[in-house]
Amino acid sequence: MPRWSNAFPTAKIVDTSDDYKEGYHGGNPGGLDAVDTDLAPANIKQGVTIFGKLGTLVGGPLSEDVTGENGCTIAPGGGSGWYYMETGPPSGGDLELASKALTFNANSMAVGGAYFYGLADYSNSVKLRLYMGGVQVAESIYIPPEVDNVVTTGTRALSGLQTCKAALHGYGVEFQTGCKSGADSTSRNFSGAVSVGSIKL
Amino acid sequence: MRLKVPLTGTVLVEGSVWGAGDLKGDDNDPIRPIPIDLGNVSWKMVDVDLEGEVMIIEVSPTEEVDENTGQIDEEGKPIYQRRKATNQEKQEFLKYARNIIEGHTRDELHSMTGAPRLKRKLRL
Repeated sequence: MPRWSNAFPTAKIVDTSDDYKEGYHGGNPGGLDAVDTDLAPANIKQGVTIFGKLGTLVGGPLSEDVTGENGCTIAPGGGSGWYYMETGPPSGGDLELASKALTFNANSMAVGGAYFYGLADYSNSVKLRLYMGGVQVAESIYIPPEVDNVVTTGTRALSGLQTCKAALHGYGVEFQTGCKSGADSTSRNFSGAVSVGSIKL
Repeated sequence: MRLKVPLTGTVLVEGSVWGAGDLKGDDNDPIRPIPIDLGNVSWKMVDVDLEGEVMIIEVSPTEEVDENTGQIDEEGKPIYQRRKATNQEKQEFLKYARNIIEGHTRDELHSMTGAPRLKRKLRL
């Protein structure tokens, strides 16, 4: 019986190549993740198992979908003094400040913001609302009775053509829901705005 | 603090506010919590449960309050003074909001606000 005279080639796997060469392998007692430490759950997509490692990585590359904004200046309506126009939402209703319609990707996440600069006639009577895609997603604290900036933000997934809207809502009885508008003592016009941006997931 | 507030408004497209984002309301009658004044708090939507007809909201107390000084300005309007809300006041604001929602039945809340139940026109 002839003796095997040629040594069987030895081989091993390395982290720099996916080659799995023919030959004698001494094995890797520490596991494949000892050969390449990048083989780790945190580097594998969630739900995917590679060589027994169940991935936990969530998400992936993100890219911008759409962005947009609209603002309004609340025009003075006459009267006297630096806050001389009274406008505001009806009791139990909305006064729209600004809206923006955009077409969102089918798989996107949107962030919106509503903004108001002005004051309310009475404390505890008016709040700022943000609507996205026909759903109210946020409501501010009360619009203060002294001139100030009020902002509220919200998020939701959107797809297709959708409108985002900023509005004031009146909680007081009718005469208490007025919001002073026009311009303040520095001639800065009172104003409102809505902004929205989204990313593709 | 999270609250579940009954919904009003009109559903145009059934779905979720997350995931594919299919849920769409009527811009002229948006899907929204019943318009009840929760007081010195703000809130953000967490989720919409169409089957339960509630919106889950995350409620936060205001950081500042405006106090009526008892004085009036030249036009006869009250003069307010703003100050930081105390921690105890913030807790009271949250408690007030919770008591309004959890202290009443769904029917009572709709009755108090005059807001109708959620309309789901396209639901089979």
